Amino acid sequence: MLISKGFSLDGYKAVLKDGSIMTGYINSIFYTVVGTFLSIAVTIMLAYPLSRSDLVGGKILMAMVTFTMLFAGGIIPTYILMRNLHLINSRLAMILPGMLGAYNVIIARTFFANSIPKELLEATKVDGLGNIAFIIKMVIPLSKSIIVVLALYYGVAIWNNWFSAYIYLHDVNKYPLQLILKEILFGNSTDMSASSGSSEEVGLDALSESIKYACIMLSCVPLWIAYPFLQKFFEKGVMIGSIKG
Amino acid sequence: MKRTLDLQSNIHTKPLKKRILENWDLYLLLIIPVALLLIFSYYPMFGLQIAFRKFNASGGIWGSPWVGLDNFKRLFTTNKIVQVFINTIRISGYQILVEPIVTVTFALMLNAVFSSRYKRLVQTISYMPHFISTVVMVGILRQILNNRIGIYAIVCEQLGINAVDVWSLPEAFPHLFVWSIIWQNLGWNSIIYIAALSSVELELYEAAEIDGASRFKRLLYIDFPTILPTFAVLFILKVGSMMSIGYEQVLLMQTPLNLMYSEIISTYSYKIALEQSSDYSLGTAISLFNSVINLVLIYIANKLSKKISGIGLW
Amino acid sequence: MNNKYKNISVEDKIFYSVINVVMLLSLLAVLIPIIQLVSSSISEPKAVYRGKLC
Repeated sequence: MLISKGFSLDGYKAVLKDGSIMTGYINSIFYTVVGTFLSIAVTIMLAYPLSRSDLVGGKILMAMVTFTMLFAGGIIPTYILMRNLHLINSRLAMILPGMLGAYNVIIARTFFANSIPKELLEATKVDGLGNIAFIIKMVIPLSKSIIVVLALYYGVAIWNNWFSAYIYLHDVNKYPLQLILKEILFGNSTDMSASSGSSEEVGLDALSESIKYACIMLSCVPLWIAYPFLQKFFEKGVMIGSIKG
Repeated sequence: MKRTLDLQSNIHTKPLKKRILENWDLYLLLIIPVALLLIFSYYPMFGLQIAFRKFNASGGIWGSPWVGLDNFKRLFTTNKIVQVFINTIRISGYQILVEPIVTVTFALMLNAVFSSRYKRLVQTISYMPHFISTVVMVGILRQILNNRIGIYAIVCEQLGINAVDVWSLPEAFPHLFVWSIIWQNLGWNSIIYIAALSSVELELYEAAEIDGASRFKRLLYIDFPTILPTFAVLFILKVGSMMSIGYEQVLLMQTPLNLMYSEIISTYSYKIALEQSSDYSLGTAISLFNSVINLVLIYIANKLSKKISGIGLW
Repeated sequence: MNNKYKNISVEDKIFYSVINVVMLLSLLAVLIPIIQLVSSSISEPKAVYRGKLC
């Protein structure tokens, strides 16, 4: 039952030939790589200062971040905001709104607070270097685990995101793979069994089924393959980032 | 929360101005993220006020006329809202009760597996569904539960029972939804519990073993209390998002035939504002109603948790 | 590992067996849909279309 009946890569071949699917794939890669990179950068820029006990106003800022986990404007006000910012139908709409995830900021902060030794900072201060030099030289190299954690959280979220594209994007050539997949899977809800047509019709319908599966594989396999390599870093990061001090 | 050691020993005696200026570069770093936070998280909260206005495109948020509680009055006098509300509670309640129990049980069991190789195997494979997007997830679901060619159909055929089209049964929806969510997130959610459990000192187990406790007893008395704090916090957070449960997946799983049970507050609000009638105000009113209830529920959950176990979010 | 395994009590053995079975079931629950996906994507289109299972 689970073994394929007759080996065939027709589904994949058709997918590769389809312009809009391939464009979608490239879009997804773009959004994911750029979005994840920017999100990680911004998250660290927020989380590190927050982890410093000598930051005046740190507590208030932290409260502000935590609050966003409990309460949010919602789809509609955010949509209005995007419209006001002229970001509707812009690729940035896929990246900007989700750039800072409160939960991610919190675990990053906990990570920094738990794993950057005070002595290190003191030593750097004695040497006369500023905070930013400290961050670049010391903090980042020590933060491999949490960077992997953030990359995984943000990356997966962006890669799988179809809803943002659904409400913000109008140009089909900006669609990410997931949205195209959604259109393919849920677009036409005509039941296959209804048509009893010619063998050619059957052939086309059958091919479209195979295309669906090939697309699904395209969207899942990269993540399935990437994760095992990242697992060790990820687990370490999660552990340190979640123990509340 | 444990405070990290203060960098300056005389943090209380240094003047405020100096303390701020000393870390000028940290503040520099904060400009962009804080700006993002304010624009994308706080401004929309601010935009919630259109729930009290009659939004029109030209007026924008400020220019639209104020109508006070009008939208809410309209909201509560429709029949639909009651149905939608009940659906939301039904599905959320189901999820909140069942998912944590299944996750914790799974994590405890996984941790107790004797062979570490088997444990690793199960762990790695159990993560896989998490990486599937909601689109693919529902696609798979449609495929499996198709009452003609899905696995469901095959099984029914073998057992000789009639395969009912689950997609047309409203009553089936909550089960379909909740269990598919559980399937998808089981492995991933258990990571954090496994991580906590792996930090239990071996001596504790050995001592218990010497005292004659069976592995099962050890599970109950050592493993379970270890994860209780984590569990409490995650549970409270979950309760808070009760009202805005995975609307994406619900949206995709809705069919015209199961709407009676599948229309929830967030999907209803979305349709009102962005699909059907462009009534932003009404949609926002629904959403605001949603968020306020979330807050109240979190507060209650936190209080309860503190009473029962002494642990709370704040 | 096998040596250690022989030394534990009967009660514990039952415990471990039950756990292993449950884990196996979870494994299958996760794998079967995924394998169906993979095999569908590399199968003959007409076979997939007709619901090729068995």
